[in-house]
Amino acid sequence: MRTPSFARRRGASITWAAVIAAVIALLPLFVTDVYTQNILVLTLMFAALSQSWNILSGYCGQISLGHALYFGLGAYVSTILFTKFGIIPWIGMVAGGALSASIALALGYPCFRLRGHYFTIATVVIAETGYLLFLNWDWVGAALGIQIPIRRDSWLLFQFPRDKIPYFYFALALACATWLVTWIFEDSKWGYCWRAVKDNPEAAESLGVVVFHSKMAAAAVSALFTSIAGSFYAQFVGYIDPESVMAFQFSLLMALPAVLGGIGTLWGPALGALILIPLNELVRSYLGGSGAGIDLIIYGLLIIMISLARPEGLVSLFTRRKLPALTG
Amino acid sequence: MTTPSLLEVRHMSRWFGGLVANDDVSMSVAQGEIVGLIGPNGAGKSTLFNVIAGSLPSSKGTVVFDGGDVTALPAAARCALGIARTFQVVRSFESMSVIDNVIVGALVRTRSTHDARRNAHEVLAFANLDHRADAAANELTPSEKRRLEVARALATGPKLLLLDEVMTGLTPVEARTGVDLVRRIRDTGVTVLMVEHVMEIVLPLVDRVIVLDLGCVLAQGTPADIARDPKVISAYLGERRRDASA
Amino acid sequence: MTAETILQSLLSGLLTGLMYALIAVGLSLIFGLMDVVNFAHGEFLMAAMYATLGLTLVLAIDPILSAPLIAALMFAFGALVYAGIIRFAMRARTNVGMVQIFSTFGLAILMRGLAQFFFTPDYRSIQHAWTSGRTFSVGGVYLPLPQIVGALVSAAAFGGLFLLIKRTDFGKALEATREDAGAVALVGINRNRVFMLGWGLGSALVGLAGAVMAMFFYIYPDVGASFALIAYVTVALGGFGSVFGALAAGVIVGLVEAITAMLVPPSLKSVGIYAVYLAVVFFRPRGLFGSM
Repeated sequence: MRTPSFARRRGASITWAAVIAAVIALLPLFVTDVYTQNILVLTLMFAALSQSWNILSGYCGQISLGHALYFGLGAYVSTILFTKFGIIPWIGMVAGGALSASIALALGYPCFRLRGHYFTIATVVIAETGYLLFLNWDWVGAALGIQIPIRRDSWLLFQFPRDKIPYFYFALALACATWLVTWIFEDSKWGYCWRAVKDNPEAAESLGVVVFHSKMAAAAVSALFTSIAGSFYAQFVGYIDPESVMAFQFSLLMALPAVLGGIGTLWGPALGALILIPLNELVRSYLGGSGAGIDLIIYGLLIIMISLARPEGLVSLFTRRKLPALTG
Repeated sequence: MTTPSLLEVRHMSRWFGGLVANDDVSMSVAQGEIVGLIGPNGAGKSTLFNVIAGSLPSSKGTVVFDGGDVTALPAAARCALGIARTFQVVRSFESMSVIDNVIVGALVRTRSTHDARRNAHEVLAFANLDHRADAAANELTPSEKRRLEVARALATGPKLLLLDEVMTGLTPVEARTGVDLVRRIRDTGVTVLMVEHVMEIVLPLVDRVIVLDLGCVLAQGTPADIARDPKVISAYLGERRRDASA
Repeated sequence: MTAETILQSLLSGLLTGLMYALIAVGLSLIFGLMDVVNFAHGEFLMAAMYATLGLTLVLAIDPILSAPLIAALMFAFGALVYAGIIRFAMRARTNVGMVQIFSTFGLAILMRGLAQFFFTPDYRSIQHAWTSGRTFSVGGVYLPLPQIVGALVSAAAFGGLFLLIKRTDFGKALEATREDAGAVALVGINRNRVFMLGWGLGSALVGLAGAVMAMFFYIYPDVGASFALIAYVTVALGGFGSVFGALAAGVIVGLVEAITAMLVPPSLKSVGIYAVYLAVVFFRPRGLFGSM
C-alpha cells in the first residue's frame, strides 16, 4: 500500500512545483528591463538543461561531461533546417531531438561498457571530436557559425527580434517539462532501475534489472531534452557557432547547477541554476572587465566549498530526510 | 517416484586461464528442497554458485532451469525466469531506503510501483524488517542488512533462491532467526540452494547436501550420510591439517 | 612528403609523447593510489610553468637548473592540496566520485582565476634559456634542443620512478596502499601519510614537466586546459594506475598526433588521438595496462 507519508510527499512536491511555476509565470508583469529578462530566460534554460543532465548523470550515475554535443546538435539541426531548407524551427526542434536521442543510443552501445572515469573521459572525447568536426565543416559554417535571419515577430518561426517574453515562457515550459519528466520517472520502474544501477550494477542485475537498457533509456531521455534546449537557444540568440554551443565549457556549465543544487535530486538542478546563472551574470558585469580572473576565483572557491561541505547539494538544507531520492 | 528437478547442472566446467575452478560438475535440485552446498576453502563453491546465478558464464556444460536451457542467459534474464540470489558481501543500494531496495526487486514482476511497494511491504513483513522500511539502507545493522538482501531477492518472486553464506558471522539468536526464515521461505514454495560454511547450522536445516572439493563433486546425500562419509571427512580434515601445517 | 620530413615528424612526435607521458604519470599515480582523478592536473602544470618563468625572470636561473626546485615546490603544493582539500573530499559519505571531480575541478577554476588575476591572460615565454633556439641534428633531421632535453628529463624521471617504486620502502608502501588501502594500517603504514606523499609525488612529476615545457611552450593561464584532455586520455589509454601504461600511452599519443597532423588540417590533429582512445577502451575497457 502507498504509505500516507509517501503519497503526501509526492503530492506536496507537485503542488509546490505548480505554485512556483505560477509565480514565475507572473514575473514578466514586474520585470520589464531587458537585461533582467535575459538573465531569467537563461536561468530557466539552464534549469532545464541541468535537469536533463541530471537524469543520466545524477539518477543513473553515469557522469557525462560531453553533453554539449547534444545541445550543439539541437542548435545546429534546427538552424540548418531553417536557414538552408526553410523548415520551421519547431519541426527542427523535433528533428534535432530525434537525432540526438538516436546518437545517444548509438554511442551507448560502446560507451556503456565503460565504467567510472573511463566513461566520463569517453564522453569528453566524443564531444570534443564533434566540436572539432563542426569547427572544420564548411557546410555548417565552420568556425564562423551560422546567423539566423530574424526579421519579425513570429510564433510560427519561433523568432522575436526584440521581445524576450515569448522566449521566457518557452524556457519556463521547458524547465517545467524536464522537472515533470523527472518527477514522473522518480516513482516509475525506470527511476528505480536507474538508482539501482547507480548504486550497485551487479546487485541490480541479480534483481532482474538489465543495466544496459536502463542506461540507454536515461541517455536517450537526457539527450532529447538537452537537444531541445539547444534548438531553443539558437532561436533565442540568433547566432550559433561551435565555440558557443558545442565546447567543453558548455558541458561543464550544464553539470554545475546540478552539482551545486543536489545531484540526483528533483529540485537540485533548478536551485543550482537559480544561484549560479544570475551570479555568473552579476560577476561578469561588475567584475568582468577590470578584475580579470576574479569571477573565476569566486566560482572556484564556491564550487570547492559546496562540494566539500555539502556534497548532497544545497537542497539538503531544505529537506529533513537524508535520502536524495524521493525528496519533495 | 522422484520429484522433477527445478535446477540441473550438467557436466559443467569452469576454468580461469590455467586454473580449473569447477571440473565436470553435475548436480540437481528438486522442487521444494533445501539443498546445502558445502566444501573446504577453494572447493569451487562460489564459482558454481555464480555460474548457476548467471553472473559467471560456464566454460563448458549446461545449466537447465525449470525445464529450459539457461546456459546462455545473463543474470537479469535468469532472475526474470525465477532464479534469485544474495551476495556474500552484502550489496545493498546504499543511497536508497530499505523499502526502495526491496521495490527494485519487486519491479521484476510488475511495472506498477504501487503494486511493487505493496509487495515490498509484504516481503519486509515476512522478513521481520517492515518496521525499518523507511530507514536508509546504510543505517541497518549487519544482520538486518543480510535480511534485507534476502528480502530483496524474495521480492523478485523466485522459484529458486540462492543464498551465499547468509549464516556466517551471526550470533546464535540471529542464526536461529535465519534458520527460521529459510524454513518459512521453503514453506511458501520457494526452493533453496545455500552455500555454507557453518556446519552446525546448515546440516540440521537442509534436506540434502552436495559436497565440493577441488572443483569436483565429492559426495551427495542426506546430512547424516555426508557426516559419516569418509571421503568428506578426510577432505575437511585434510584442509585442517593443511591449515595447521601452514 | 619526403622520408626525411616523415622521420622528422615521427621523432618530434616521440619527443612530445615523452612529455605527455611525464604530464600523465603523476595523474595516473594518484589515481592508482587512491582512486581520485585530479581535475586540476592541467592547472598544476600551468602553475609549474609560471613558477619556472618566475625563477628565470627574478633570479635568472635557467629552467634546466630550476627544474628540480620546481619539482620540490610542486611536491609541497601537492601535499598541501591533499591535506587541505582532497582529504576532506574522500570523507564524503555520498557521491564520493562527484565530490572528487568537482572539488578538484573547483580548484582548477580557482587556480586559473588566480593566474589571470596575478599574471593577466597575456601569453609569455622564456626567451633566453640555455636551450632556447638551439637545435640538435641527427642524420639530416633537426630537432629542437629544448624538446630533446624535455624528453631526456622525462626518461630520467620514469627511470627514477621505477626505481623508487621497486626498491624503496616508500615505493613498497605506495604499492601496498594501492592494493589495499584499508589494510595497510595493520602493518603500521599511515594511510594518510602515504596519500599525502603520493599527491606530492604526482604533483612533483607534473611540476617537472611544467618546468621543462616552459622552455618551449607559451605560458598563459589556460595553458593547462590545452594539455589536460591529452593527459586524461593518455592516462585512461594506458590504464589508470599504471606507471608503465602512462609511459607507453604517452609515446603512442605523441606518435599518433604527429601522424594525424601529417594527414589532416592542424586543428583536427587531436581527432586521431581520440579515435585511438575510443578504439582501445572499447576493446579493453580498462585501458592498455590498467587493472582497476
